[in-house]
Amino acid sequence: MKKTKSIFFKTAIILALVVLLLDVLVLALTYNITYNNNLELAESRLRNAAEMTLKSTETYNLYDYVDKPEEGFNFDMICEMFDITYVYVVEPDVRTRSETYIAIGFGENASEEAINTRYPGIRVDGELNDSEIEAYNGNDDGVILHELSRFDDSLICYLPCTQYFDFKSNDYVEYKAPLVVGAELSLNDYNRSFQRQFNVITILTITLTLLMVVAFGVILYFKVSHPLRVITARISHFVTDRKKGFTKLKVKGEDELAQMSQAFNTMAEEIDTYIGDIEALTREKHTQEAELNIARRIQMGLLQPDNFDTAKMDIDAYILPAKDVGGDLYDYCVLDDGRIFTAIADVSGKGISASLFMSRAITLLHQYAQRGYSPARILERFNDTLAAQNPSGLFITAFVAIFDPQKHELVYSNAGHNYPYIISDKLVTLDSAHGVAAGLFAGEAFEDATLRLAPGDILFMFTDGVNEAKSASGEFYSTQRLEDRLRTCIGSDDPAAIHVVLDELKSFTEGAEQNDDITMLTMRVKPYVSEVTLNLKSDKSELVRIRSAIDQLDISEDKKKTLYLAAEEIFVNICSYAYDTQGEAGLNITVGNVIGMTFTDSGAPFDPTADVIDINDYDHEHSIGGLGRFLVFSVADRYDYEYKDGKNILSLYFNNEVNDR
Amino acid sequence: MNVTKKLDSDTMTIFVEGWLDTLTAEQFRSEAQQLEGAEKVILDLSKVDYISSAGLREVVALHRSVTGSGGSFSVRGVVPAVMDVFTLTGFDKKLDITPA
Repeated sequence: MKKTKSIFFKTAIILALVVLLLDVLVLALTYNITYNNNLELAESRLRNAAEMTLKSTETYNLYDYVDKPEEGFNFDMICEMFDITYVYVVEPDVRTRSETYIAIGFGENASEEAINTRYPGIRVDGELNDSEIEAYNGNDDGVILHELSRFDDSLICYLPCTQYFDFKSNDYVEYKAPLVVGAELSLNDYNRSFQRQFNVITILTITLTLLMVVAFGVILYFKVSHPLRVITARISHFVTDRKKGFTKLKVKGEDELAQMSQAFNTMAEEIDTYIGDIEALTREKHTQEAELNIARRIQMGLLQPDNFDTAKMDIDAYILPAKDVGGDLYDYCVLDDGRIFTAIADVSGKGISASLFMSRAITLLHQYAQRGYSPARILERFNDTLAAQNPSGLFITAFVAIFDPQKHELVYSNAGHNYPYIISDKLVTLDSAHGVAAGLFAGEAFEDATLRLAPGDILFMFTDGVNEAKSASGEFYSTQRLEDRLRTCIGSDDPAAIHVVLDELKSFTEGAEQNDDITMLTMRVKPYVSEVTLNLKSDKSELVRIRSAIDQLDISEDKKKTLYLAAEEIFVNICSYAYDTQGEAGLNITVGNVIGMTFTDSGAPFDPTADVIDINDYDHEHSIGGLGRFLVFSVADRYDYEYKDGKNILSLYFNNEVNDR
Repeated sequence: MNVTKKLDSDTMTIFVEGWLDTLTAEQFRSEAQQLEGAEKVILDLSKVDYISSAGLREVVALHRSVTGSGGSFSVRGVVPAVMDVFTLTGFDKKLDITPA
């Protein structure tokens, strides 16, 4: 801490200055008063001296002693007695304004010049002043004059002296002309001595004052400033010191400082306890958060990817976990028989328990689905297993569906979950086959409901985190808004119903805290297409893509097989013969009253329609080649080949029977 | 495609499930080569709903290898879509074949 910043240092300085100023003022005042008082005393002394002189010399004829002053009255003694500078008697000559000294006495401060030049009998021209003349003329007021006298700046008292007592005649004898008695006090002299005395007083006073200020400062420092600094240091290093162990401040007495120390001790103790509590809480919270994060990661790891695509359908999923781990889940898989299993579920509650329950639930659902159970049977087994061991009494709502892409049939069952929707040419709520939430009551029966899904239909599943999502103003997103939004997907080619909902949901919940997991799952039956175009590498593995493309066409299953047979045979031929190394081939299929299939390749010119074997002449016992092309042209209703722009172009045409789908 | 085989004294029954085509022909061939000396071989195609010339060739090759070594070979349970291919190519007359 810098000294200049100490309030006590500042106070001491200010105090010292103020006291000094006061000192100066008092001293000045004292000086003035003392000076004037002393001056008055001096004036009366002067008058007394003059009067004393007049009285004392009454019995002397002063003229008798002009030549032998040492025998006459001792004027020096008067000076000494009254502490004045000069006493004299002169004979004025008014006409010439000169005077003759009859007698004179000097005080101890009389000037050398005066002593040497003024003595009885000396006549000094032009020295006579008006006041002396007044006295000469008989004014015996004894007024004190302040004037520049013959010697000095002086106070002077003049008195007339007109007679003396003569013991011989025993009577007063008039002087032939009046004499004047003068008593003088040199002001310079007087001032000097006064100053000297006063200087001593001044120095003493100021020294005393400064000593008091310093003493005060020292007392202040040791009694207040130092203890305060100790407290300040303790406060500023409170947290650092706390680690070394907290010690109390000493409390001495009952003054403000003691109260402050006491207050600090109380505060420090309270803060210490408080910090301890907070530290413990924070540690606990960190551990909890870390555990929740791990739980969330494990939970997310149990989920299938958010996108799955087969020839028959697309699956899209979206899950946004709440800050606390929630218990939402979704699952899907392709079963061994090619059917597609999907499920969505929501565990009651949040946190670790919900997340553990969720992981158990997802495993069970997956397991029972794999066993080939129907959705109702899956839910029954799921419910029984959960209910058998559920000490914390959690429950789970679940919707389970299995889609058969061959039959286009959706079988589903619902355990207390929000009704999903089917988006087809209208929005349908799947509110049948609705049972109780799973996990609490063993032995519950669930029922299956069956629904036919057309190509392009979307099954939309969600958890209540969607409709119960809150806006910043506390409003629910609501099923009404959800349904309105889903209706906009009707007739849309966009398969991403989730994103349509999500876009609105995100702007709706902007600025609000998310309290629950938000989960959505869609399964969309791929719409039939009337045309496919493929760019293929001349590699037999591309047959898989050809099969998928044909699967999507809006034609009967038998027709698909016929098309695939033709496509396989032609494509295998291209792979085997068209190129020395690998090349490319194009396939285009259009569906109308007639199905057109065109293969294009830029291999060596080859007309596959030429030299097709005649099956009646075919040597079934020994030949084995040529059957492929024979099959192609047997199943195709019409065909056409051309070689154009360096390309083999083979077109096959098939009559499209009445759609028996 | 799945192939399972059942040997009952000297009769080997080969059950095929799935498509018998270019992509599965090789797998079928390697399975059908191991007949463990059976004299009578029955190919059950009741679970096959598609066959192409590549599959056909494998069936014919099996027929040749079995009959060539003095055994008997028959095909049974052929579904209509597959039977069409046998009929079109005339193998229905050459093989001991029974539709489903």
